[in-house]
Amino acid sequence: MAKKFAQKGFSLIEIVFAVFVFSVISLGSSYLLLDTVKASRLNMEKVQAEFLAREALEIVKTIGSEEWQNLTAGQYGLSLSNNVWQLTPENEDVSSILNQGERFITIADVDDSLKSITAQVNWQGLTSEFKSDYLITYLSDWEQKQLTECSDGIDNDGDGDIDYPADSGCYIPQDPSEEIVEGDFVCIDEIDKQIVKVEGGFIYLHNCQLTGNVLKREGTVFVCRQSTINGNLDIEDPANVELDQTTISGNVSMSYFASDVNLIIYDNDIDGDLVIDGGTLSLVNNRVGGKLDISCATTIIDNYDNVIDKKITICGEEIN
Amino acid sequence: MKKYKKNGYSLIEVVIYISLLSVVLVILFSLFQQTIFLRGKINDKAEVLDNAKFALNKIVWYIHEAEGLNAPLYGQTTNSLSINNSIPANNPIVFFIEDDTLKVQKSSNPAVPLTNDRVKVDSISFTNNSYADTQNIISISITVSSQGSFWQTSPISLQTSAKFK
Repeated sequence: MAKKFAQKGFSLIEIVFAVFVFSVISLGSSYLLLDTVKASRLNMEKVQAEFLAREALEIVKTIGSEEWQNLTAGQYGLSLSNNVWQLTPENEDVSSILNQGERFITIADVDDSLKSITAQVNWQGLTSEFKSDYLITYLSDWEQKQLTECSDGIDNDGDGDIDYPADSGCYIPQDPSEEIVEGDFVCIDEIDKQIVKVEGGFIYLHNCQLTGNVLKREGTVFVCRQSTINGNLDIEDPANVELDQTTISGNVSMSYFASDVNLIIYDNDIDGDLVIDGGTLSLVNNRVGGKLDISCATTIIDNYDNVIDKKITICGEEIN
Repeated sequence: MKKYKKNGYSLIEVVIYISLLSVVLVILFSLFQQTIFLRGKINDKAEVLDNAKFALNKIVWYIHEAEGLNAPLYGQTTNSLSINNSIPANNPIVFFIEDDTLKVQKSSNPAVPLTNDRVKVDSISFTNNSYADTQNIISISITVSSQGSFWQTSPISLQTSAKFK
């Protein structure tokens, strides 16, 4: 009897095992369901985060096209002040869209006129784990407002002065170098694309084409014959000046000369203004596209055959 | 007596089997029910999300292509957007909500829906955050929920901005 009973029914072990297998299967499938819910929720959150990141990139683009200089490398939040988007040091709170959401952008310099922008959104997901999503784009300064040594806020030549006009080596804000060359500059039958800045020593130009401004400060002679200067010519206080058969596309300024310094200016074509302060002047057969201004400190020996397009001022008096 | 005892089940055994079976059936049933319920919910959510995404992408695309902005004016928030593009015959292009549907109307042509009838556009708002009339940037936020659905799903909100070229 006992033998038969044991054979026909289920043993307790069998039942326990069957229930165990069944619960494993149903637990597994309910986890699958839960995962589906989580995936659907994550999908929605990712779409929201992506739109927020896209918005951040559009905002950075707007800020950059308003003023490229405002995009300096670093990590920023975004905030609306006076209805306009600004970069702020703190991350932006976007918890109205995403649970505990925050948004920030990172700007990095790739090269002088190219920046990489990363917009990142962090939030807390359904099961309180932290999620994040980010987009990267690159912005280039298509207007080519490139920073030069004289406008980049850095003391490039290490003389303690920063940028134009604080650094005496800066001739204009667009000047590519804060440094002043000390000594002589000679250019004969050459094409030189540099801005020439010389302090002390002499400048000698003969049949030389310069694409840029020329600055001569102190030192000895400035001689320029049959040359072309595509820019301004600024001469401060050298010993003697000889400017002969030269074409200058910008303004010419000569200043701080002692009365015994000779300024010989013959047969030149100047597109801009000609300003002379001090020295002993011979001004013959020149064309000046702008105005001519000669100060009282200047002794005029010769002044004839000149064509001046705008007004002429000699010692403060206007001459027609 | 002896034979009867040998071949059948005892009452206790039957009771145990039936209760085990019913527990198993109840679990299985609720599992099926949950599956169907979640499937409906997830489908609804996907429908809502797809509609919101499509509508927002379409608006952003139109803004990127736009030549000019009529409304909202600088600093204002409105529930419709009016822009011009390079084809004068299409101007103005207006986005607005009508009968719970987001629509776009080009000039005086009939308005075209951007969302389908399974969803309801609860709200849309456009804010002009431009730099005093120079660089136009519009912030857009949209809230969409499911319509005529048995399954209870919460509305979905999306927010983005688009810059004029």
